[in-house]
Amino acid sequence: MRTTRTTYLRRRRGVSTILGTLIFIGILFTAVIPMFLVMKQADNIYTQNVHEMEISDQDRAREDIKSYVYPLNATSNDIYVKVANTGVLPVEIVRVWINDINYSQTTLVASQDTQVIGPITITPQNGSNIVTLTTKRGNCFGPTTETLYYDFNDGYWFTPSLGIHIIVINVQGKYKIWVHNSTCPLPWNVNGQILAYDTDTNALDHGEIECTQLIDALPNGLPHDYTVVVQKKVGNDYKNVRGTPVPVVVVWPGGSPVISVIVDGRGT
Amino acid sequence: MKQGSSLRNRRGMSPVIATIILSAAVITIGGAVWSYAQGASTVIATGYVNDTLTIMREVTERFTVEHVSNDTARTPLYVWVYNYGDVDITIDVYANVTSSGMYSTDTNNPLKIEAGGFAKATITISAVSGDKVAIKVHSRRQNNAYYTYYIP
Repeated sequence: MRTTRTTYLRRRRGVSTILGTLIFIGILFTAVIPMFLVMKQADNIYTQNVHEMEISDQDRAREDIKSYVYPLNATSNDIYVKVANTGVLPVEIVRVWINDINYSQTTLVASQDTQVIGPITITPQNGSNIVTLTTKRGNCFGPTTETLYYDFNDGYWFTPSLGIHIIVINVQGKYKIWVHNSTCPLPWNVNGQILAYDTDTNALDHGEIECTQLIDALPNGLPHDYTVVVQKKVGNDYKNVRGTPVPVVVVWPGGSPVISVIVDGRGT
Repeated sequence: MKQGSSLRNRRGMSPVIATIILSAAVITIGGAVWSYAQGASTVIATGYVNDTLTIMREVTERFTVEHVSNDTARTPLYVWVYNYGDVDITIDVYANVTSSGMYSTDTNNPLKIEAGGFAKATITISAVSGDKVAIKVHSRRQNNAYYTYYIP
């Protein structure tokens, strides 16, 4: 009988301990662990957002566009903005500022592409007319060429600098870039640069080559024909890059003061 | 024999009652602790998440001075601020003019700009041609953007 009672009591002695343990485990699984999971999730969201903003900031820093502003003709109030995206990311133009007035835009310019915004009808200011572009990533770009000048008395735009902007898509290589016109023998103008790159290094991977050749302003808005030749060094010789020579016609006013020429030097 | 048996049976009641009372006490106190722990952990987690989101909005806030101009009287200075981030911002704009000192927008009525939007802040200043104006845009989340403008 004594043995039976002792066993009976021993069996009941741990009930509270078991209940306490169950409650402790319950608290652990229903309160503490969910709390840590929620905190961890919040940390993850924070880290993810910070990472996204870092990428966004890097993208913003990598934006690179060149813009050229020109009127429809010497007396017109309609102006055009030519945007050449020389960066590696697509750029969205959200606003064009002309003097202190903004014009909303949704122009997307792909990498290495060119878009023309306009016509935008403005009221020209006497003297300089400042044009800037705002991108969706928060960059503001001014015009690559000179500021547009307007003579209020005569009602005429002054001629800006004209030029041919050449972009060579390149991994690595050595190039000669020539710009000449049809009336003069090659090289008409060697100021189109000779660019030398070390072919033994990989440091220039994906490095595009850019140069802008300024050309003379033309009277009476006459078009002038030019030819752009891009040659790449292959062995000991220079060979024309596929697609060149490129004929270029510059018309101003009524056309862009700067013509962009994009050639691919990778396949030569 | 019968009486002895009854007594022996009653003798076993105390441990049972004690166990029940102890269990009830454990369940009651444990339940209270459980309930408190759940409430406390919810409060702590909610506070932590809110703090984290606040800091996140602070570090993801992005804005810039897009354009500045003034009219011929040079008294109002117009500052266009572009919020190119993903969160709405509330800003005050300060302008330090070299010839006349510091000016600001009404700090009791700050400018609110939604994400992706832009807005014009107007500051009444006193300036002369050639003055240099140091502009500071200060957000209520303690971020700043700067711009330098020369009075034409």
